[in-house]
Amino acid sequence: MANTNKDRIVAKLAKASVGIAGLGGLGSNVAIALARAGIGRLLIVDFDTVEKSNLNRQAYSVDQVGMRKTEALMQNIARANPEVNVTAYCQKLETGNMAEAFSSADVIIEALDAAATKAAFIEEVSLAYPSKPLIAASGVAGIRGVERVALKKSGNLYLIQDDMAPSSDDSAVFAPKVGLFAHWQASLALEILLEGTDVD
Amino acid sequence: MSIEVNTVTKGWVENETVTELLRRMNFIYPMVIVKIDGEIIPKAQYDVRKIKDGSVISVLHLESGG
Repeated sequence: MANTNKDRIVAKLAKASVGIAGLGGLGSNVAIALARAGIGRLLIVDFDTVEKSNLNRQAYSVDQVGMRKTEALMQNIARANPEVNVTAYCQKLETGNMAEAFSSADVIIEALDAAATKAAFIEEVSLAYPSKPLIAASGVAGIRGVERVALKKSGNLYLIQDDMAPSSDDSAVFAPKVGLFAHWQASLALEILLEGTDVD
Repeated sequence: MSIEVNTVTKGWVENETVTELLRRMNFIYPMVIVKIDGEIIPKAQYDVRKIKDGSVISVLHLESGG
């Protein structure tokens, strides 16, 4: 029997690898979405631990407070889809060490918090891997403005952005809006990974 | 003698650096990514990198939150 579209998608995604920098409201939700979609491998990087204040938007649960985000997310990914091969780096991404963990990723997701860290990451990773697609997000804070969220593309850099959003220094981040960005990042990753495959 | 900044045509200024262009365009956001003709420009070069006539420039600003 000929392979169906779904079989082809499953086979292609099972061979794909996505790197996620930062495991907060963006990264934890991107990871779970891609795990459920059947991604073969995830490279996840964060140095932080789960705090109670994270639970309003991040893909962790009450019993995981105090755990390293890398360990907690590995548990949650395994609960959602045990087939995913996860490589976790409990590491702070700082200028000079940002690109290394992602050398084997097919697509890289920027899911960091501070604007300066986002900018440094995009610069370093784009220079290190000019041919790898990099999907960034900006403007996740606040509860207004989901209708403004748009995708900007420049070469291999994709930015999902609410360009009128406040900084998270001034406004809280909540699950619905940051989740929208995270799922858009994950969906775009699938679209890029499945380019050339008849998916519809 | 013109450049394109975020799809809008602007005048080209001889010897203008990236920093000077950002100031001229009133891009006041502290964190931006600048690409010129598809190439990402490291921040350390903003004060010295001169914009060539005909450059296609994209400036993306970044806000904290993730």
